[in-house]
Amino acid sequence: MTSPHLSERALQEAAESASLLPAPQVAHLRGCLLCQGRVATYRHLLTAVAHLPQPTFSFDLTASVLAQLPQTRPAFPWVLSGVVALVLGVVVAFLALFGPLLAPVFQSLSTGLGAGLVAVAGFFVAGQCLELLARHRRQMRQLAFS
Amino acid sequence: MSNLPTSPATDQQLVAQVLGGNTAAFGQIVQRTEGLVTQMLFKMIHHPADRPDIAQEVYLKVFKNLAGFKFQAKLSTWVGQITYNTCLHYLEKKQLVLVDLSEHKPDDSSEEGRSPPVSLVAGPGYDPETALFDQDLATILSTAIEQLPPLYRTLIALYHQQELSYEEIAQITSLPDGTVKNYLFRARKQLKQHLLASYQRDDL
Repeated sequence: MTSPHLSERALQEAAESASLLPAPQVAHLRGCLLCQGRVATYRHLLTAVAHLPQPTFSFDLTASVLAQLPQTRPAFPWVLSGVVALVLGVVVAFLALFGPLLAPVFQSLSTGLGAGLVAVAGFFVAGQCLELLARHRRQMRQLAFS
Repeated sequence: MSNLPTSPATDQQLVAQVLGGNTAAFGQIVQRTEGLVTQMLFKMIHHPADRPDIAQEVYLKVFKNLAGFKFQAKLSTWVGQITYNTCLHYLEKKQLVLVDLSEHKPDDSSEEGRSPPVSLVAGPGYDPETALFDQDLATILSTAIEQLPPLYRTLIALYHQQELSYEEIAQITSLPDGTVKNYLFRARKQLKQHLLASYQRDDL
């Protein structure tokens, strides 16, 4: 055998993959038991390194990091506020425009019936607003803890 | 109602969720990258008591800078970069050396013909699995890795344990590809020398 033995770098490359070597070195390796043994040593070494146990912390890093994160304030419910403002605006405009027309109608009805109607309407509007608010909070909670 | 398996969120989706105020999504980012971060911390930071604080610092930096991450690299590579730089800063503060180049010869690769004594080299009939129990080998290797400079330890862990490419390691460490390959070559060589010396010491 006349060709020189593989260099240390070539041995490492051969241990990773023989395809990394140029053809003359591959040919040498095929016929040289000494180089084959050296490559086997590297291969064994690299396999053992790859299988070394992974280091771990003795505590839950994820929980620890999440506990340290700066608390983000929930965003102001701009959409919900806009809807409420729009509804209120429509109601106020309606009363401003048709209030004088509606007043005689209500005056002609008994006071009790009028008060009842106003109360029902008030409860209805309040209920809708509460439901909207509750739904918004539910969505925010799902986003925050999903 | 059937529970269909949902595919895991992509890095982009997770980042978008975190930026939208969902801090719980950040937990998934931590879980995906903590193997890499832990591996780097254990290899670069010698003092065990400092590692948890540095890990926290790394992830706080990731959280604060997430809006500036534009996916030029993989999320894990970017987290690795932050980890590496945070560890470097720590080492600088402690005035510790990442790798002492003075202890290496200018060209380690020019050693054609120079080889360990034949008695230490695995021969053709050599069966490494029977020569040494894997447990012993793992112990010897762990000791050998501990004796490497921190940068070499880190490169070995990133390449051989985390299975990152040379390019990814170069991005994390801001070292040229060639330097990464050269350092890895030296690190493996030192490990082999340590391993062979252990064989000789144990008269194997």
